[in-house]
Amino acid sequence: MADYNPKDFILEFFKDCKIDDKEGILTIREVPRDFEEFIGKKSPYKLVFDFNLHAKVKDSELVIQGSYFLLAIRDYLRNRGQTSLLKLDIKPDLSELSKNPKLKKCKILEIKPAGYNFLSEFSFLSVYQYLNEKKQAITRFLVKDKEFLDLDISEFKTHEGNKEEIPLMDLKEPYNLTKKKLDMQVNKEIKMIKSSLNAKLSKELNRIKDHYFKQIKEKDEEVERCKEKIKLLESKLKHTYYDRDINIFKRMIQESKVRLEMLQKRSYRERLHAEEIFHINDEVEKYVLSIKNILINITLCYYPVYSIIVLSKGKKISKKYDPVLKKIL
Amino acid sequence: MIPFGEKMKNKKITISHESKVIANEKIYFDKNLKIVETPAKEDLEIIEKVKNKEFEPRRVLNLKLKAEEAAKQSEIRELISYPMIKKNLAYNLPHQQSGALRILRDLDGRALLADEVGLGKTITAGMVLKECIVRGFVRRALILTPPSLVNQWKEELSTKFELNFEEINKESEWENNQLAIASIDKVKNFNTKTNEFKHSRAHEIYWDIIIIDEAHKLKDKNTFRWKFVDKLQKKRLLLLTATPFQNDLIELYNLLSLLRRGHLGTISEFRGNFLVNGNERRPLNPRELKRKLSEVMIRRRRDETKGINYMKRIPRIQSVDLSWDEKRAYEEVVDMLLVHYFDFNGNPINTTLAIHSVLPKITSSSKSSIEFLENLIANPKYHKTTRDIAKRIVEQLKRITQDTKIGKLIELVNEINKKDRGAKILLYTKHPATLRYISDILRKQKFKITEFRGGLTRDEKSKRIKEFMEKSQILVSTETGAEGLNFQFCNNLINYDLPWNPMAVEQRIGRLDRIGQKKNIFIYNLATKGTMEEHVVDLIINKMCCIGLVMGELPIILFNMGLDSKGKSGSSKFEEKIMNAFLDSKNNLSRFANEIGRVGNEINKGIQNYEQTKKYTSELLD
Repeated sequence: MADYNPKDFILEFFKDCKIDDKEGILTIREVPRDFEEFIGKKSPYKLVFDFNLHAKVKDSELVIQGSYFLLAIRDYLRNRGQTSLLKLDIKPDLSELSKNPKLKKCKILEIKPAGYNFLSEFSFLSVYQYLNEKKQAITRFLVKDKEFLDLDISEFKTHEGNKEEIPLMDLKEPYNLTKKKLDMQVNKEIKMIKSSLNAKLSKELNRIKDHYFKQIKEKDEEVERCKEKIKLLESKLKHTYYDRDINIFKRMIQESKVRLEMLQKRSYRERLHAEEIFHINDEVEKYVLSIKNILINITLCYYPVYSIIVLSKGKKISKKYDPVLKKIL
Repeated sequence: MIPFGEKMKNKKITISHESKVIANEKIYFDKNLKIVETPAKEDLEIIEKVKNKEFEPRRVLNLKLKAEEAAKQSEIRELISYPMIKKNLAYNLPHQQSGALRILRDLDGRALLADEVGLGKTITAGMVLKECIVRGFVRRALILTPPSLVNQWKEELSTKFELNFEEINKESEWENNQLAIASIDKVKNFNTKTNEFKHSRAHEIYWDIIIIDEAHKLKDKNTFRWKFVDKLQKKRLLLLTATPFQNDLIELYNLLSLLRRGHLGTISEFRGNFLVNGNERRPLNPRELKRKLSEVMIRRRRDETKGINYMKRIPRIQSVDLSWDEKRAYEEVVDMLLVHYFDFNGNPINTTLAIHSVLPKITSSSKSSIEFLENLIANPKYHKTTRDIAKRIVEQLKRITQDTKIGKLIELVNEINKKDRGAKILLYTKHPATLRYISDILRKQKFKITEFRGGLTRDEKSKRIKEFMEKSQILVSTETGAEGLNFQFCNNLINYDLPWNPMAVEQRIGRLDRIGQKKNIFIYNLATKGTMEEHVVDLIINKMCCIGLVMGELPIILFNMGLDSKGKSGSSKFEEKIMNAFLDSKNNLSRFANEIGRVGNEINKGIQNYEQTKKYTSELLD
């Protein structure tokens, strides 16, 4: 979806309010009370669209991509417009219809509306959040019966529908179908994000693992050094004959043994391993990729199907025609 | 570097947060990357709406789609929250915004912010916090500060960033507070019997961001303070300190270990790579160390930032010679407190507390003395002897027609006017009774006065600030009244009486000594001769608050010295020192002066240590 000009959007959003556009400042008055209550500020709102002007105009709200005011409007609209009903105003194109292979060598005698067919459009907002970044995408699916249509309903002439003209409809099944299709699309996006995240995370995890690997190794070496020292001192002790040296070696051996016992007693391996796991978990949590798929709207569309009476080989035959699918049923 | 063996590479990673998974969340791993998918609960409700034929115009959907697009935030190029907070900040300092952006964009929210004191690290950290909240990255945040700064942080977050943080005092309070603030000294307590931290509940929470102020106190990895912080689970961590190391570079190593384990290698590697043999202060390879630090640290100096002028604080002590009646009343109150202060049953009342709560009222003004003594007389919980003495003193005090101190104040205001006609003056007193007294007398002298005290509504406060700015010359205030307000348009402060807590004095001066102050600040202090007040004023003003430190440095020094937290009496440890000095001197003024001199020397040592630390830090980092 292309980037919207925030000003155009603001004009459209407040189109039923009083708007004054002067020297780059939009002053909005007579705003519906529920919006004022939602945003926590009474109108008039002085809206500006660039940083420099914002600095100059007292009490103005800066409206730029992602700014607070736009976030507030988005939140205000989040629970609105979740369902819509559209009637597609579509009539069969006779010249195209006559080219239909099923009507070859037939003459169309009569064509008239005969009931309605239904389509459902599901719009999803997918939000991907990781580290200090957020990506979002809107995906729309058009479903007829159990099939996805590669159509855009905005290409048709439409009116707000009349709910008296439609039967009660349960869209659980097409919803489940679209969810599966959405999952496939989301997975494609995840694949792209996760490859860069995994690379970064691996680097960080390697740093932690490397650190603890070396720490344990250093401790192991210290233990070994201590053992070696005891061995050496014991061998020196064996070969000495002077009382003074005997006492010194004995004391040194005792000291080294105490040190060795202290090193081993503290079970440094377990302690360091537990620490390592903690830091790895912390890093994994830092890089977590959160995905939220929100159904933001279902639009139920209905349109007339046509009954066609054709003359084929001297016989009158009745058929049905779907002008959206362009199919003889 | 020791290369990894296959065993190391394939080491299994244990994930410890499974228990916190919300129902319906789908969690899975791709290699090491944890992926969490949250289904929206509202989907079925929307299907139900269609079933019930509840529709809204298609225009609303179109608007909604456009709103999603317009509100979309991608990479962090600017602070989208800045316009929301800009109105609350007195000044726009570009280094604060650029610092916040760098922390978020380049350092993924894990950083050591080591700007020099006075550059507004709190504001930069607040910007990071606000931006994360607005962008939806942060729900649970924790701030750990020195005890004396908890309220200041709370106030700044509320007034500048519109974020209401709850102070954690009891362990049970962790669960329900998404935005929590706590004194690090309080929460780091370790119970040796249970072998657990008293606030271990904090370790079970997964914090989206943690900010630790004056983080240099985390220099020693063998302390409970360091261990408490190390055990906190966090996605983002901001360590704030202007002096990341004080005595040796191992302290810096310990600090960075909290931020990024192994960033500087193991301790043996660090010693080998960066320390000159046997000298833990001199780096072996300063350029490489600086490069490694720049990967996790932001540091700016005052001389390289634009927009801040630092003004001098010029102290003036105005001695007040008490009249004979005043002097006698003071002595009698002291005598009563030390010798004849009894409860109903005739038991002596804790003199330490009495000295602290009563004496400043007595030296403040005759009116606050009378108010205190009349309350005592009317209170049956005191012994008759004590109440009778109080009655006698009140009679003496009522004979005083005008305090000598107020006469000195009038002289002082006239003197200021002579020097700088119509100059704005912020006048502080601790006691409401004194405030009323001062206001009455100054009004009679035809000075234009605005009163400012606790209990005013927000509108009333704004009205009075405007009145002070535009019409009146003197704002007479108690500290609770003017807490958190900016009066940088005024450069004269009069302390009619002085709190014994230097942090409270810093708060008073801080109303004037802030970014935007264009003149040197005169700090006038009235001190009654022949009472302990003159020595306390000299210590706090001349030896602590006005010695050329930048705003924010004194709290760090007191924090480093362990003097900013509360003592057993409930007052700050510094105040306790003064109280004890008074009690030890047994009302002998020269002995008291000696005791205060000793406290002064201790403070001076703390200041010197701090200056030395600043020097070392600057040598390495700048």
